[in-house]
Amino acid sequence: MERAVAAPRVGVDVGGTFTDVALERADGTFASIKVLTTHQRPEEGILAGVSSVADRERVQMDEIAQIIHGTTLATNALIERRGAKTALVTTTGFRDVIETRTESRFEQYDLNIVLPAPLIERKDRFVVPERIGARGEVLLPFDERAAREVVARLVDGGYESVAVGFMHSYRNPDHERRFRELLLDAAPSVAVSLSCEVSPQMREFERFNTVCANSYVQPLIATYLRRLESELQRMGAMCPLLLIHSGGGLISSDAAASFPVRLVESGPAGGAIFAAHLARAHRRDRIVSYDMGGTTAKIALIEDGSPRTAKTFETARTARFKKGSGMPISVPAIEMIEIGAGGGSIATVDALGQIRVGPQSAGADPGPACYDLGGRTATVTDANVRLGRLHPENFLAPDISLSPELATSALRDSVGMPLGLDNDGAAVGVAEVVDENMANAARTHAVESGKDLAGYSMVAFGGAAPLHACHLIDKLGIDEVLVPVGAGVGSAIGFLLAPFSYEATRSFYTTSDRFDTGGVRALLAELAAEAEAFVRMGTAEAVTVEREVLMRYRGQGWEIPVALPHGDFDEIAAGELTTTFVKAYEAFFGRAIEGLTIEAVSWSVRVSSRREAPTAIEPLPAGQPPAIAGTRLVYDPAAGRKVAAALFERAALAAGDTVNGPALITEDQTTTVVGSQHTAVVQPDLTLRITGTGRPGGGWPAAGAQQRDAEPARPARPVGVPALAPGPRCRDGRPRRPDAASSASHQVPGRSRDREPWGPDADHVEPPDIGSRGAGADPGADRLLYVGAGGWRFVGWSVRSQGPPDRPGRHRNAGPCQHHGRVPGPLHQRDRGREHVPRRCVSHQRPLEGHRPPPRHHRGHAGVHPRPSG
Amino acid sequence: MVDIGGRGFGPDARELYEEGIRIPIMRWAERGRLNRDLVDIVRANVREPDQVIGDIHGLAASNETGRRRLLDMLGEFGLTDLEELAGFVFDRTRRATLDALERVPNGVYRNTMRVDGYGDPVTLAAAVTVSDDGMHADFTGTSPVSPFGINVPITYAQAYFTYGMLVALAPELPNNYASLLPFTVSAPPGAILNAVEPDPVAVRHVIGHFVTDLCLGAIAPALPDIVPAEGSGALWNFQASARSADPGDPRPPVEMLMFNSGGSGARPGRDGLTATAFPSGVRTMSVEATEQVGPIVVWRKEMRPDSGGAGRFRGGLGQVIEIAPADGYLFEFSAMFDRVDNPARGRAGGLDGTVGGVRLDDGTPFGSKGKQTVPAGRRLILELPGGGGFGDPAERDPAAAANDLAQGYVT
Repeated sequence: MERAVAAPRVGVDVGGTFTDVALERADGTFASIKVLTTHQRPEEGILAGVSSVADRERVQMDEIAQIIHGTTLATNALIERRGAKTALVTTTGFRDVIETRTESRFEQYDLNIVLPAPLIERKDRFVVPERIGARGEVLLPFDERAAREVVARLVDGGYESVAVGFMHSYRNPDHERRFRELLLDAAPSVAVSLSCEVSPQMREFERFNTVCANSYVQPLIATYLRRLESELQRMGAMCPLLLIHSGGGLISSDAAASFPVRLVESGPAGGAIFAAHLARAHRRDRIVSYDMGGTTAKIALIEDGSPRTAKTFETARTARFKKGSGMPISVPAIEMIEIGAGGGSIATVDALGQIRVGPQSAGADPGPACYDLGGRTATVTDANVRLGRLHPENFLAPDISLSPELATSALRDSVGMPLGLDNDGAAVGVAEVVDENMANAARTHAVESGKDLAGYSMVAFGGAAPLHACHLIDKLGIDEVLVPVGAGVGSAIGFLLAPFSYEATRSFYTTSDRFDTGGVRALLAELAAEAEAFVRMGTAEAVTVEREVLMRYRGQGWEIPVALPHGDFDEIAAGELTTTFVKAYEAFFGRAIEGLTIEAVSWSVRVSSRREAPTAIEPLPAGQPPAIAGTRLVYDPAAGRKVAAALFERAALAAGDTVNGPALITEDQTTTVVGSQHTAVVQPDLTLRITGTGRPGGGWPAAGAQQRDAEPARPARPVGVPALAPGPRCRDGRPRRPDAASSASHQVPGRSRDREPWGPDADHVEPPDIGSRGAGADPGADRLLYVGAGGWRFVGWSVRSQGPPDRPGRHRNAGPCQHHGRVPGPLHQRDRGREHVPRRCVSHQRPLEGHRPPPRHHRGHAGVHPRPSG
Repeated sequence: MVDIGGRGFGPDARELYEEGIRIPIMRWAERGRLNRDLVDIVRANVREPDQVIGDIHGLAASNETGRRRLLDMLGEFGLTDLEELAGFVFDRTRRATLDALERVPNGVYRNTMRVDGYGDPVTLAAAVTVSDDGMHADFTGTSPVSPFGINVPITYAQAYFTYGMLVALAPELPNNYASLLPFTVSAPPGAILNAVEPDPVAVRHVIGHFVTDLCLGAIAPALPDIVPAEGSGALWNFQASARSADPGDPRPPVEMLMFNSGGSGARPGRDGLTATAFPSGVRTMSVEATEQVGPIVVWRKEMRPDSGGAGRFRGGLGQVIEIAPADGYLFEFSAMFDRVDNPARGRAGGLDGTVGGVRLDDGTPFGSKGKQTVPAGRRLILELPGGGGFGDPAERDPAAAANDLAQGYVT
């Protein structure tokens, strides 16, 4: 390994709940610590974390060579509206662009909808007569006198920060720059942000909003960074402080102080870099990066070891992470989809008797019920505790112990009682729904990116991901998941793996029939110089240059990214661009369109310091099983019941060790669940590689048993409990018509229990008490069949085995099912529907500016837009 | 579709046949091979063949994605068809929908509304009958079909009636066959809400979008805390064809389309939404992107102060848009605007919103419907209507009133 800056280096990720600190040792390994975030003065938590990890590693502060920092401070300031007193100066006639937004409602079915308030109120928005045209020509000269009057009002108004956004300034920045001169002449200490510098991309709402956001948080971030730097220096850390930006690279703290909007998605970016690095080391060229924490899950597709960037994303969503309820930010950010699915996500039951999970989160305070910090509503973590996946005394940090009793009572009150499910049934339902929500987010993201998940590997990290990953890969049809060491602090480690980089982007419109090669060449040179200047603020290392253009067919409203070849952009390169676009378009949408003119809209140049190539990890085949530390009853989705799972401590595992599921592998910051049909093999870098085995579900010998036979074919079963019949079981759990007269009568607990084996943990698996709910079309009865199908397969089976012979033997030959015990997806589609696409399409569906689902460059955006008539 | 041929998107056709190319149900592609004949016929009949063909490809691609996901889902859960699952979902939804409708006592609820129409004003009338089985809207008393393309097929009226009832009563329920089933409609033959072939219907949304406010207004007495005041309703779409002012210029005209919205009605607990579509869900597009496409300049697109109806809760503001052809160009556009003569009415003592206006910058008045030309050097000025207010204006929270003045929403 070769790196320009030697270890020890420190990565610091300040998140909503925890501040994660990772220290890179001289041998390339990492030490890490989690401390609670100190919201009022985040630097206090940072200093505490850095000094404690340094102490532990016996590193002096002045030995630290580099500190790399990612923070949600900018994001939080936008969400909580804690920015500077800021004004917007814009073109006459466009004062309200950031307030009228897209002129649409992000939720079609809410009469009381509240649209996000503009970051800068109307009374703080000023106009100057001037107008640049679409080709950069001056349609109306800049009105100096009027501008000076506005400057006077800004000075009188005591604004700390001023955003300037004029129409088409990405094409001609003269007027914006002139305004800045006038303003700084009169008020040299005012912070000024120009849209032509912060985000020179076409589309005024996005660009104006981005420059407003930058301007709004700039004084706050600049002050914070200066404070942090001086505190670090006071402690003896004299090394440079670098920031991670949302595009996944490092920038100097000076650059960050000028363009703080680039920091908005820095934490998730660190996670994606972490996953990409692991993918390169393990030589996986297509991975799903899956990061699940306390509040959200983030899913990114990474090809060839390098995450893609989107040119626009949405942050500070006000309504349940709902698309359109936040503010657009047009700066490069690693493409990913984020949904409200985390350990703290709250479970509820809706009017239809469906379990909903998230996007509301109990956060860290009061947190899940089992934290015993006052939370009373059931969360995903409570479900995992009830299902045996989390050990009560070994969770995240040693000072948090979990209460299974409180988890259970919350599940009973929030989910079990309303649905007539027992406690385990409620927990299974919650776990299934959150897994299905995440699976659907991954599918949606794949579709929007024009990708098929077959052949992908998953990389799971973040405190909650290793608990859910096994089930998720089954749902997605993915063959393997890698759980790296340090999964709990992946973002902070990712910071240490990031290159210096900067992506400069600008809109420049030209078409295939009248292609402006000279203009493009000049633009690319400018962008490269701009990006390299930022990178040179941090490093003198050799750099790589990647160039990309967003293109579309004429008339379309959204573009797809096309990589440009290296070297001089000449007529030949211009000529090849059409072919490259057509290929990219085919990959995205399945087929190209003949005969259409092609438009190039936005160009970007990314300059990065060279990434060190990680040492390749040779895959290890399955080896010997390690000694079992114990067993615990854990619910297994494939088996559809609780099974005896073997317990292992991750720290005790060595390369080559092979853990056959069902098993739990615990470590300080997370627990990895290995399903009954999965096997984990410890790789040379101690990454767990988990794959499906296709073995039928089963349990380990009951607690107290010794290491079992290496032959995994037939797990022992408690005496007297018949083996599960594989085939029809899952099918039997499928929906039946609730109006079938016989349904309820088959759900008498005693009867089903007489017939059904449910494993060694029968005492924990009480069939839901529905006997008292009446018969026939009782809402409780059919609800049970469906929601209960998440785990209470035996209920469905019981119905099926005795049910009306309307379709006898229909699934007799269906063979063993990998998926029994699942909640039928469609019943829970609404959660995902709400996240990703407008839920209803009464009769108005029309794409906005054009005709395509906004693809990858519009992050997390699904492609259905209402239309006016139809 | 940016264009479907015929006269183009506008109200001026007298018969369906003038409004665009009609394609009976047929294959777009078979086994992956495009139906060339259909492609050629479409191309030959529309103004922007590239874009239209691109649109159809887009529709086919999304259809294919949906098909694949459905098959994946069936495979994942071991289903061979959707019968049982659908039965369960429909049964659940039907019961939940009927439960939600119980908030409105059984009975007949009536409302009428007058809107501009094309030439003659149009009266819309609805009698909404609520029973244990659902809700039925009868449109007897509605004006007869218009000679212009503002007529509405009854299925379209049914959609906007159903949307209004669901958004008020059961917003959380999924939208499916069973949730739609309890909502039925009827209208006498020849009514403007019951257009049949060959009545022209190209801009049916202009009248059709009012059906939601019409039917919500009918049940408002039963739901005083839910139903908002009337809003601007129909979108103010701007469909234009811009071309060189020099008749000898061989370049073809450029077709452009912008969606714009007036104010929505005040809610019983909140102000109306400014420049936001309701009941439509359409989004506007970027002015910068629009100006990249064709030779027009949008000089102004901002809120229209004082246009929201006063009330305890204020109606949403409309907006003002000024559009000029670029130097050396002119453009024709099809006006399809409403609420220029008839305002969005306030509710519960709230005042009406301000009506809209259509004119040139030199004061020349323009019609609210039909094809008109903006000559080189002139600007078209569109003043979009505001939404109605809700409740007595005297009861407005003084802080809210002060904020209106500070922000310039009210002058």
